[in-house]
Amino acid sequence: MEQDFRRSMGWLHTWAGVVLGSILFAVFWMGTLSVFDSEIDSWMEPATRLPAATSPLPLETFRPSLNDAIAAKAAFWNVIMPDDRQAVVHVHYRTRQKFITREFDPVTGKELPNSGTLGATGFIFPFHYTLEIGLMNLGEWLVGLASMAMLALCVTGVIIHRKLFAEFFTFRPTKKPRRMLLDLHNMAGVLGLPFHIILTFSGLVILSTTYFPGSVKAVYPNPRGYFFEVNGLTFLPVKPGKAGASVASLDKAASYVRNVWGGAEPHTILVINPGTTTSRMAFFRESDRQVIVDRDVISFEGPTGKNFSRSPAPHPIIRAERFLSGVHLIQFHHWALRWLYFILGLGSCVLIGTGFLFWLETRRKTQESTFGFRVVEGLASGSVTGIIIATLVFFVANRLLFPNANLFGQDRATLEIGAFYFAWLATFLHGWIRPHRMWIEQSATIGVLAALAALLNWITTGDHPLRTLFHRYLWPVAGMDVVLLVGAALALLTTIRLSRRTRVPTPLNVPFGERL
Amino acid sequence: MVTVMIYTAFGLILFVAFALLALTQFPHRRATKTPQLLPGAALKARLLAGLLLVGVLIMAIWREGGGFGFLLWGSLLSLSACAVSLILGWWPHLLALLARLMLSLNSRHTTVRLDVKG
Repeated sequence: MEQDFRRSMGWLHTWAGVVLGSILFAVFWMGTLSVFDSEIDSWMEPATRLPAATSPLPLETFRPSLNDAIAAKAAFWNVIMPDDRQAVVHVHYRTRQKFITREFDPVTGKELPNSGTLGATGFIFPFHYTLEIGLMNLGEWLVGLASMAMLALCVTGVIIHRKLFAEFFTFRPTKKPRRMLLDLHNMAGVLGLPFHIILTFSGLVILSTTYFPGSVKAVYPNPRGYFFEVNGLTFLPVKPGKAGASVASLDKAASYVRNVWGGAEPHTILVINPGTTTSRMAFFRESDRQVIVDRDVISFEGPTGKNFSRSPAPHPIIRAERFLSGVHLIQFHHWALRWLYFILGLGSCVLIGTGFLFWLETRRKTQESTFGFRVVEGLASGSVTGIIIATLVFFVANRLLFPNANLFGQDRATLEIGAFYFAWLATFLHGWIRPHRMWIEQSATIGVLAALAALLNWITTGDHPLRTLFHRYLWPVAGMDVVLLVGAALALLTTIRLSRRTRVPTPLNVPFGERL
Repeated sequence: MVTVMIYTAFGLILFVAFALLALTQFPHRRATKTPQLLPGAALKARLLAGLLLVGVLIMAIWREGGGFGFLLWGSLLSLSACAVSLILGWWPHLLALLARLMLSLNSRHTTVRLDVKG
């Protein structure tokens, strides 16, 4: 009975991993990079590498961009103030045609040149939870399916682990490759289990309204009501107003808000339906010193500047949801935790990658020539090393393309993303065409691309690691370059070791019962 | 700088706690080429490790608050356990000193001889 149960759990673990492993790796890889999305943005947008301002600029400095938004009949306009992680002021507004982002110098208030990239916040982070598949929310559904599978994989992994406590710390690098892979898989899985489970579960909670819309409909007459309450947007106007109204003084409202909050600064200022009679101004308090995503929002009537509302204390359930969102989204500023998340995220990628490799190694001897094996092999190369290569190509393209690059009517940001997908597709094809050399060649490619990205950053901006390490405001760039160089060294080391192993083949002995 | 030192101290204490737990197991004692512990000593080592783990949790919460403290502790927990595994895998001799110190937990000063060649 117990053996049957364990065997069925093993079957579920194996096939859920093989079928959804590619999506899981993409989600965890992009999520890991998203931990440092602002820092990657700083690397990809050299014009934003500026020293932090000592005091915030008056909000009226951004009035011209608000007027532009009103002229373009924008649905909203917002300002995101600088913080520890991003030095520049971001202004966003959405017109009927497109979403516009403008960046301003935090000291002079002068508009910075358009970087022409989506960066990490515009591409890597959305990819993490949508896979950039917008059609009928298909991407979010696939991510949800993979997340549920991840939870099942965590539970079944513990069940099928025969010696969970006896081999809790076991890692045998001198044993045969397959044994070492299984040890590494078990180690990353068991020791990182709290991280895998909490991050996966909190991710599901964040997107729960997509997966379980019925639960919201059961409580709220209109699902928008839930969205407004969760995000502290209860001030949003219901009826559209007439055009031609102005927006009252932003600084006067900001001064009132600071008094209410005892001196705390607003982090985001939002104007809904700017230039209409029903417009609203809202000030979101900064909440980067706590885990929970606080939505303390004070709103004003847009045309008059009259105080309209303050977000009510959230329901305990919503508060729990905000805590889980905070744990997942890490909007707080805690550098040590950010690095720990990054390292543990890489651990999750190791877990998924070694799972794929172990599946291949246990079947290589008996099924290597079969169609199914070749499919999974190509899929594994594209999913594991392939997406890393594609990401590095994205970074290299960012440093190589001219500021106003345009090809076949495609702008710079689209070309960067095109380079990402082209490289990713190529790695899948490479895996299918050259199965015996794919890991060596793709590892070498990672090493070369990572080093090239750091080198190109130096050549195109003059910011080499020796310079960036000695300027506090350039530490995000230094961090990115150091990670790229360490990654390059590890990838090249892996290439050398794999090449040596190929030259001196070792016999494969499959211990009984080792196959999952 | 003080913060870096405190976080490093937390990590090191957790590392020692996991090393104590690992070194109560036969394969890891063999890897460090030290004699096996008596059952009572192993229990004492595990209790000490448990105290260290809980102690760091309390200190992290006291210093960082509930949310950050718990997250920091949980993250360092995984990382330090992985560090123990990797060190036992690649350089077990680095933990030999701790493994020998643990012999002092044997109350009757008797140790089970171990054939390290085996």
